Amino acid sequence: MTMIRGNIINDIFKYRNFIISAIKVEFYSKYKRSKMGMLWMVIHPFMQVLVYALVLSAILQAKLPGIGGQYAYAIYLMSGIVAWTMFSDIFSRLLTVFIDNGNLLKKVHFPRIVLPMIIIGVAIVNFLLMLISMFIIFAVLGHVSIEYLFWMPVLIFVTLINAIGFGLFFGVLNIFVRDIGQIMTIVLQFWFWLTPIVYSIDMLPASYQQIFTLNPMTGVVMGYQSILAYNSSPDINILIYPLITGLTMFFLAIFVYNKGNHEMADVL
Amino acid sequence: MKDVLIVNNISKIYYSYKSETRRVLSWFNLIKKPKIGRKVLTDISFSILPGEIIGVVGSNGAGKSSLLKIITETLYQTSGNVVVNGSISAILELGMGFHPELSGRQNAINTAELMGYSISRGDVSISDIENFADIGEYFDLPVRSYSSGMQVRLAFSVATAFKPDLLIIDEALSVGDAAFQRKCFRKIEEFQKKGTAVLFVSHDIETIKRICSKAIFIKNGELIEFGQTKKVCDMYEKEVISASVPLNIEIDENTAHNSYGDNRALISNVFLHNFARSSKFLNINEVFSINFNVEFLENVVENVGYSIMIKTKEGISIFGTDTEKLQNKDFRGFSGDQKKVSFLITNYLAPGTYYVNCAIYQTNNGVKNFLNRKIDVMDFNVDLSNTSTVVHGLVDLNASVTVEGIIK
Repeated sequence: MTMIRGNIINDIFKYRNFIISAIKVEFYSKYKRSKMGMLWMVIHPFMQVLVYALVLSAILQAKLPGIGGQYAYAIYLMSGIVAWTMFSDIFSRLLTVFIDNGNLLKKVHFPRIVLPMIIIGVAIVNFLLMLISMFIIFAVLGHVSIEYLFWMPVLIFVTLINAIGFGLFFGVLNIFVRDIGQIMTIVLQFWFWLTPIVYSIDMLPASYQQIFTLNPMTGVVMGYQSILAYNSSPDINILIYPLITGLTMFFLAIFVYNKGNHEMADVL
Repeated sequence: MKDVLIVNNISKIYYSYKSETRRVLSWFNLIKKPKIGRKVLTDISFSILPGEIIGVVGSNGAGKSSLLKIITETLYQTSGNVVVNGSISAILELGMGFHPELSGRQNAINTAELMGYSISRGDVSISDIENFADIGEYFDLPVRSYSSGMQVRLAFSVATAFKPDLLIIDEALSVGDAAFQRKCFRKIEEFQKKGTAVLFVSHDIETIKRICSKAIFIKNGELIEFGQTKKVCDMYEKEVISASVPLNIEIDENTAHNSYGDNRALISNVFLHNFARSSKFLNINEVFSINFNVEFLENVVENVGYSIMIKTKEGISIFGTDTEKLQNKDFRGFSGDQKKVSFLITNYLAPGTYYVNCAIYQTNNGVKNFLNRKIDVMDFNVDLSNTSTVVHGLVDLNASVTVEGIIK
């Protein structure tokens, strides 16, 4: 733990009020000039889930082995998307967080780690709103899966540690080598399709399945699908690998953050 | 007394790597450290005691902002260290960190928190901020609707809502209107009396002379002088006004301090003449003249002018004029020519001691190049005479007063 300098945690604690109010500001300012205001925060995820549920079940009538019913595929798809959305939100925003706030970083002294914390906080709020929308719509559609929800904190933790690890690592490098931001945006698109979100890993040839599990997000997304779509407990074995990848990237990210911290302002 | 700020041998080098990838690799010790560096600050050392107001002067790009950023820790020094005993509040740019969609009130709360203070804990009072900013109903309107002056009002109010041990002000104040500036200076003075040290960067030399006890002159990243305000500012002014003459602090302090120019002509025999008596003491309303002789050493065939300036002991300019203004014509001179210049002035100055600068200059595209300028070449006194009406201030406005009973 020597790599995490004690002051990162202290800084976060000391600035917790600011982080919380900045998260509020983010939502507040986004909807402030609209008549319905904060209601949009709920309407957006709700409509997104509704569109998937209706289009996929009524129009495309996609079927999936393992879960019965008209809405099976919609439910499966949403389970993966909710996890991926949080991951890619955090990843893509951490990539540019220091660049976007360059002017502030050069003008006001405050711990830089505060900025990623705001992004993570916003993404978690969005995730929870979408999850709740899902539960409501699924329940209306007759699918209730709450038995294994106690696994959710574990899955969220593994998702976050990967998102922060990859995002912060490349976000710090991106300050110095700006191409990284461009490359990672493309990588993120491929990454989505290399993760079994719209398809199921069982649909792939056995030899490919092995390769696909090298992607840490495969295990994470399958975990969400187990809980939310299949109503079963996630396979621990497929979560260990993402946990290790996530922790490795996280510590690597902290390492480059500490290294780059003093040089950031020079190039921003 | 314990220093509030100790700046110890600060140097700042911006390293550039052949490629930025090499910078990243260097963190992992995969390649050696960089090699090309651009030095913006060299071995800067100084310290500030509680209650001192220090002005920082220097041309654009001299390193002033880099130095302030290092002190506020938004930029990191390459070597040396900074010790701050206490809290810092800095106004480095107006409206820093303000969110345009939020009201002034919400921004004030957020910015205070960003600086590590909390409104809810009671570190800072929001009504104090509101009162000081004095922008009326705008305080509850989005910051995007603010004028730049209002943004400065808000920024200054937030930054001074609590008493810092060190207050850093970079230019920002010049945006506010005169009334607010005075209010800010009163606040600064109030803090100063309670022991706050102030670091004040401005290109406005008069303000620095007026409020600062000491000043720092930075040139090309080096600290040229740190000391009594007037001396440092004179040095800086000389540097700025006559960029063609390199500042050389090695040469004799007295002559270097008092005279400079390209020496195509020289000023001599500066004297004051008051027609009634021949003394350096003047009375109010008395007409006197400032005279000097000029000898041309080269031919200067166009756009020559003569100027004088009267200043207080603190170096604040009170009055300056030149032949361009008074006669609306240019002069010229040929090598060997001697001229006698005489400015006729009526004295409206309050009792005290005053200093005189005089100069011969040539105007090129509106820029004055001094052939010779003598600073503080002469001093004179205005008597505390019976006819004077001054109690406070620099000038005598020849007041009179009547007080009468009001008949009901």
